[in-house]
This record gives sequence, structure tokens and C-alpha cells, in this order.
Amino acid sequence: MIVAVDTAVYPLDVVLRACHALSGRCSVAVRRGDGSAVEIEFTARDSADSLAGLPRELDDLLLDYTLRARIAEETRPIRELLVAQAFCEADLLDRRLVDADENDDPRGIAVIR
Amino acid sequence: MRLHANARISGIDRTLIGRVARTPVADPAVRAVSWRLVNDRAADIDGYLGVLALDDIDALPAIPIAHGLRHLDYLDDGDVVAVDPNGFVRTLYRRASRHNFILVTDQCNSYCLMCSQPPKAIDDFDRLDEHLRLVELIDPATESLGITGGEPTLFRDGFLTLIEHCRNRLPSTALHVLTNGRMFFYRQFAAKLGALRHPNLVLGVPLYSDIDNEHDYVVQARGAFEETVLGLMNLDEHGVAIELRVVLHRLTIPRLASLATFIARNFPFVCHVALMGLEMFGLVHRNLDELWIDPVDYQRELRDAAQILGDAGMTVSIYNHQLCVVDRSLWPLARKSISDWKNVYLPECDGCTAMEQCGGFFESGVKRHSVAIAPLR
Amino acid sequence: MLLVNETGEHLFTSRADLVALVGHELPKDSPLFADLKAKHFVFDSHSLAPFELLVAKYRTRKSFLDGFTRLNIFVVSLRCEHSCHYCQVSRVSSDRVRYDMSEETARRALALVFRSPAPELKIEFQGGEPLLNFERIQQIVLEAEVRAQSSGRRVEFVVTTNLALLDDVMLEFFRAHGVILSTSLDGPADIHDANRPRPGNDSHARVVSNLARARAVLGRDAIGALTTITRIALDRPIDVVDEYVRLGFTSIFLRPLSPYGFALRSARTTGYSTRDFLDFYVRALDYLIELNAAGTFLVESYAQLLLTRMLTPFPTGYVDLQSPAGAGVGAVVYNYDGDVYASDEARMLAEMGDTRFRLGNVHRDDYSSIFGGEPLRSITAASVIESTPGCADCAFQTWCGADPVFHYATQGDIVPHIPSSAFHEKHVFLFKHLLSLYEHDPRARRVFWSWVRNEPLAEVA
Repeated sequence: MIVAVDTAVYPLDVVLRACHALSGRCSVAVRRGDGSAVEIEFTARDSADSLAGLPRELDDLLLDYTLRARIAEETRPIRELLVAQAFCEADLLDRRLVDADENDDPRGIAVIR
Repeated sequence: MRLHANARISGIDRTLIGRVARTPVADPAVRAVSWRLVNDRAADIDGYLGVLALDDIDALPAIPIAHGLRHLDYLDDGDVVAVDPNGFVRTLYRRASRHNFILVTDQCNSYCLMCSQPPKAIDDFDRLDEHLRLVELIDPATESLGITGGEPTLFRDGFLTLIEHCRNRLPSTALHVLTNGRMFFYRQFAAKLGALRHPNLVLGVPLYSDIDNEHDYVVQARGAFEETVLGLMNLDEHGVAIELRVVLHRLTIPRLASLATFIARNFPFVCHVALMGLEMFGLVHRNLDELWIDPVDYQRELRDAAQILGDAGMTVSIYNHQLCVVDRSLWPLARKSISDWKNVYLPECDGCTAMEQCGGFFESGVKRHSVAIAPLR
Repeated sequence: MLLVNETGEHLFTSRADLVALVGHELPKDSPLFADLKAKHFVFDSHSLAPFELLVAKYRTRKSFLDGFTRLNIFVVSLRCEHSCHYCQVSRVSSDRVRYDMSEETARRALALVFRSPAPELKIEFQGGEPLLNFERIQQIVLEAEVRAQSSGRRVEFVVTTNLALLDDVMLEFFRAHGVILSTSLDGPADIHDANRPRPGNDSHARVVSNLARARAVLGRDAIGALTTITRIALDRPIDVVDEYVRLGFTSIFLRPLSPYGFALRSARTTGYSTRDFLDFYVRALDYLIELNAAGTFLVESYAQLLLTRMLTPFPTGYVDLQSPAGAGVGAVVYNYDGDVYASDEARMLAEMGDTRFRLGNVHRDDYSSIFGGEPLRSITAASVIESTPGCADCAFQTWCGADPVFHYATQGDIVPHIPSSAFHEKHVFLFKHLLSLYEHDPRARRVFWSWVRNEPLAEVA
């Protein structure tokens, strides 16, 4: 079974991730198609396996992986900072305020309104 | 019970703080720091700090004296009393009470909508000396002592000095400090408190929401959530024990369960979470329309929150609630609100079989109360 | 849709809300936005507090890394008088010279144990049947105590034993040194004895009688038990659980057959699919929830581990579910012949002739070549699931872990092919199942929390 996906809609990275997720059920081959399309060929490993539901499942996976990719992209800097800060002895954050002397009180916590 | 009185005085030109001696004492060193308490005249008043007379004394001896103190006839040996030069007599400590506290300051950097002790914008930093003197006079056998305000940490070094003084003078007295925790945003301040290694210190810190702007609104201070949260982390890092306190009202109820989850997930180290009914004191009256919710209407939220915290293994107490409005499954968590003020009960309470276990009402709370108050049988 | 963040907090949303969130169209005053913010899925200011909370929780979760080689397994003898069908490694033999750990090997291994920077150490005796070499256990316990004392560390001892050979001298030694026992109990006598043949075919009877003796001397909680589920137990989850209730255990660890050693060879007679195991597990779990809710405290240990990872900020010590993998980092195995392995499974593979995961030998190699060498580096590097294809995008990632030795044994590569991995199938199923019970069954939720706390259900909220 061959399915075409337009990489102008779904980036190649997303397509490959979706294909990988299906690779437990059948063999998956990805080839360049016409224009910005890629062709995905699903081959059953065993004559008893049905490929019938695959195109639909691929559609769902493409949407899911698109959301994941966008979340991953947008949260990458903060996740990297999180891991770095968690494992690093040195301070990567701007802690000038919390490291200040309470008597200097640069944040103005003791100010009474 | 009135803890203050205006007295006629003589021979007092500065505030004098001393222990009450209803029973005569022999040791001259003890006499020098003791107020001799008499009804009218005493045979032997030599060497005492001064005399407190319940009635008026006509022939005034040449010693500091405050008289006409009928209101303070509960005073007893070991209590601590301050007499100001203007004749104001203040009971600072009562040995027989389990609820003594030092009101460090009237100043506060928050202005909580339901504050029971509304702050005053006055410079009272000079009160530290009196607090330190008081600590020296308190009976070291005292089980527990509160440190409150206002916001006691506004004294900064003075606050640390006070805690250190308590540690040195009252090493076996449990200290319970009420603070908004904001000043511990500064890590060094938390480190200094931790370094005092007070053996029995708990900081009671209020947290009203898991969302910054909601907490900030309740305490009427922008940035307070950030400061308190970081403060809690800093305090824990330096080994200071923390109790979290949540006052239940119309603004805190909607996210109470989320707040419980937030506490269990982020502050699993706190030793106690107190879920507290609204006390009808101070600013509450001014903001009552915004804050009031009938406790009987939030029992589901209260139950959920208590369950979340209990499931996570945290110790939970419910304060300031009448038992008849509390879901029966929560009764084991309900603590009788205890204070030196006499609690009162309503006509509706007549015939209730649970009055012994129930905290009843503060006198000021009678005006607005749950519609569900009813005798339990 | 399930969302899980870097520190393991979770939240359900509709697909429409998630799409709105990702498109920055979710209103900031919506309750969902508040929930996302409180659980640190989103930030809406430059405030430091939420980030500091995240860092603290992340660091706590990964703190298992600080305890470099906390669990030290000593295989003091490969010999065993049982001949269990599923056993990976043991030999029925009386050749002590060949299959028992020598005094010198033990001493050298112990020296390596105490090179670890971990402040608390655990030494577990395995076999074969370790009681067949009791004098080695005595030597190791005594020497470890001296070393622990002088280096100011705590050391715990566990003996994994079938209990059959337990005598009073051993019990007295275990009592005097605070040694706890872990035994095998596969269910009622017919299942247990069929799984675990020994001369006289009395394995179950010996477990029951020696369990009582051991409890009398060591205390009720000093003996735990593991259950290996074989094909004959698959349709009898209630019987297996009931046997644990009858014998007064407070925990049961339902384990599938492992894909190593003799277990693999005898797969035709004892084996089954992952799906078969999960069906069994679900039925056993339902029954356990029912029992616990009715007042019988009996924890399923694997659910307890997964739930602790899902519901709390605390780290878990289990070496099979970490990233990077616990093999060699959280645990290390000293084999009877002095070989050092990254995990118990690794030495089982070695018994099958594949020494890929042998880190070295206590007689030939030093600490840095064993723990800084290529085998351990490659295992650790390959087991960071944050970068494993299929794991990197998975919602369950922060709750899950890597098992490179398992994947090597089943798939021929330490980097798994996730879509066809039995490990993946099992864990995805378990996370979904536990989560579904937690979200929809208030009774199960309360039981799960009691397992996480490791306390019986409280009477009240």
C-alpha cells in the first residue's frame, strides 16, 4: 500500500516520526514523490496482517506529531535551561535579586504601602 | 479577657517590664525584676521593681506604682507586665496560658483582605528591646510561644536576634512564628535563620492560591506569591520547618483542590497544612461581601483538598469551624479553636451534644454565621 | 489528550483546547490556563518561582544518579538445589570450587563497593541459592560493617533465598546483623511446586514453614516475596493473590518471565505473550484493589513503583526504570567468579554465552576501568530515553525508563525499536491502565495513594 504525504503540509521530520510509530506493525519505506510530496509504502510482514486502517492512523499520527513538534520547538529553550540548571553547580539564572542582602532589599519587599 | 488597663501611676518615667509576684519573693535579685502584686497595701515592698495594686492606694510609697487595676485581678506569679509612663498597663505574658505570643510589630508589608490584626504604618522598630527583655522574663518551662505581628520579619536582623534570644533563653519552648515568608525570598536571610538551629521552630506561612495573581490579590501585594514560594524553598533548603496556612473564603475556595495538589507536589516537605475558617476580626468586616461564603457550601471543596493532602501523606488540620457545618468525615481533622478568649455559642446550639468538642464562635463571629448551625444529637 | 511535563505532572485536555493552547489562543483567564500554569506547563511572566520549582522537582526526580551504584548484588554461589523451569542461571551441582564465590573474590568486590561515592549502600546476596555459601555471606556482612563504620556510611543487607535451607544459625546471624530476606512464592502449592521443582517436591511447604520461623526471629516485615508468573498461573490471578493474603504478606510483586537464560529456552513450555501477562495483571490488580478497599493491606510492588513516579515528585530507586538506565549506575553485580556486570540480566546473558555487558573482573581490573570503561559508557549513553526514537515524543517519558539489556536480549540492540518492543507494549499499557483507574475509580485512587504512601488505607480523609 502506498500513501502520499505533502511535506509542504507536514514537515519531513513529522512524517518520519509518524512512520516510525507504525513500523512495529509493518515495514515502512519512505521515498521522494512528485513535487513536495513523499511516498510511503507499507508492506505487511505476514500475509495475515491487514493494512486497511493504516492511512487513517497515519493521518492521526501526522496531526499528533505536528502538535508535539510545535510544543517541542517552543519549549526547547526552557527545557534545556531546566536540565542545565538542575545538573549544573553554577547558577545559570539571574539570581542577583535573591542573592541580595535583605537589608538592602532591592526588590522592595519590606516596603509598606 | 482584657489584657490591658489604664492605671493611675506614680514614679514611672519609662516603660518598666517585670514579672508578677503575687507571692512575696525573698531573693533580692528576683525582687529587682518583679512587680509586687497587692490588693491595697503591702507590708514588704522593699527592693521590688514596683507595685501593682488592684485597688487604689492612698499613701504612695517611693517606688514605681500602678494602681486601680481591678481588671487585671487574674494576674499571677510568673506573669509578665509592662507599665508605660502614661499609665498604660499591658499584660505581655501569662504563665498559665498556653497561647502566649510576642506581637513583634504592627507593621506589615501585606494587607490581606481578611487580616484579623490590621497593620499600622508606624515606626515601631524600637520595640525589639522590650521583646528581648520579655524573653528573659518568660518562664523557661513554657511549652510554646507565638511570634507574630504585623510581619515580624520586617525587623530583619532584629527578628533573627529575637529567635536567637529565644533559643538561648527558652531552649525547650516551641516557637511558632506567623510570617508571610516574603522576606525569605532573600536566600541569605533564610540561611541565617537556619543557621540559628533553633531546636523547635515552625514558621506558619499563608498560601492562598496556586496562581500568582490570585494569591497576590488576597494579600494585596504584587509579587508576594513569587516571594513566598521562593521563600518556602529557601527555608526548606536551610532546614527550617514550615506549616502552610490557608484561610477559606470566597476567593480561595474555587481553587482549593488545585492548591492542595500544588502543595503536595511542590512543598511535600511542609510539616502541617492548616485549613482555616474565616475569623470575624479586623479587615474581614470591611471586605465581608467579597469574602463571605457559608462554610456549609464549601464542604465538598474542603473534603477534596483534605483528601488530596492526606492521600499524599501530609498532616492536615481544619481550624475555626463549628462541627455542625463540617462534613462528618472531616471531624477527625477538625481542631477545637483554642484561645484565651471565651468562645460563645448561639441559641441554635442549645441541646447540642457536640458542644464539648466544638470550638463554637468567637464573640465577633456571631453576627455572620452559617445557616446550617444546628444542634447535633 | 494527556499532557505530562518534564517533572511528571499530568493533566487532561480536549484536543480543541490543546490546539488552542499550542496556537496561543487559549484565554489566559480560563480555568484550564490556570491549571496549566499551576502545574508548570505554561509560563506567563518572567517570574523566577515557577522555574525554580520545576528545577527543584527535576533535580529530585533525577537524584537517583547521585547514588552511584547503591545496589550491589553478590552472587555468592551459582549452585541451587531447586531446578526451576524459568531460572536463568543456577546449577544443580556440588562443585563448590567451581560455582561458589571465594573469600578473595568477595574481599576484592567489597573493596570496589566501598569505592562508590554513595552515602548509603545496599548489598544483596543472590544465586543460585546464596545460603549454600553461607560462610561467604557472613564474611561479606562482617567486613562490610567494618568498612561502613570507618567510612561513616550506612549499609543494608538483603538475602534473596528460596528459604529451603534456612537454619537457626543463619537466622540468628541475620537477626544480629539486621539482614532482611526476599524469597520466591509463585502462588498456591500446586503452581509453586510445579514451577519450582526440588528433591522431594516440597518447595512450597518449606517456604511456608520457614517463613513462619523467619518471621518469628526477624520480625514480620523482614521477609518479602517475589512472584514469577508462569503459564499455569495465567488464569489464576485470584488464587495467586489469595496465597499472599493467606500467608500475611503486605506486598506482592507480580513479575512476568524474563527473556533471559533458561527462561528463553523453555519459552515453549512456560512462556506466553506480553498481552497474556497484561490480562493476568489487570485481573490481579482489580482483585487487589477490592481487597485493599475492604481493609486488607497488600501492595502490588510494580504498580507502587509506577504510581510513585506518576503521582509524586519523589525519585524511585528501581534500577529497571530510569533514564539513563540504572544498569551499572544504580546497580552492579559481582558474580561468583569475580566478573562484574551492569545488571542481574547482564550476567544472565553472560551465562548464555554473551558477555557484552561484562564490565570487568575484580581480579584483573581496577575501579576506573570497570566503572569508566567502554561497556558501561555505551549502556548509559544508549539508555537516555529523552533521545530514543519513539521515547523522545512519548507522553509517558518522564514516568518511564530504559532497559538496554532487555532490548539487547529481545531485539539484538541496546537501542530499542520502540514500536515492536515488549517493554514498550507493557509500560504503555500499564500507564494507561493505572491512569484510567486513577481518574475514573475513586476507590482505586484511594488504594493507589495508600500504596504510594506504603500505608494501609486511612479510615478518614
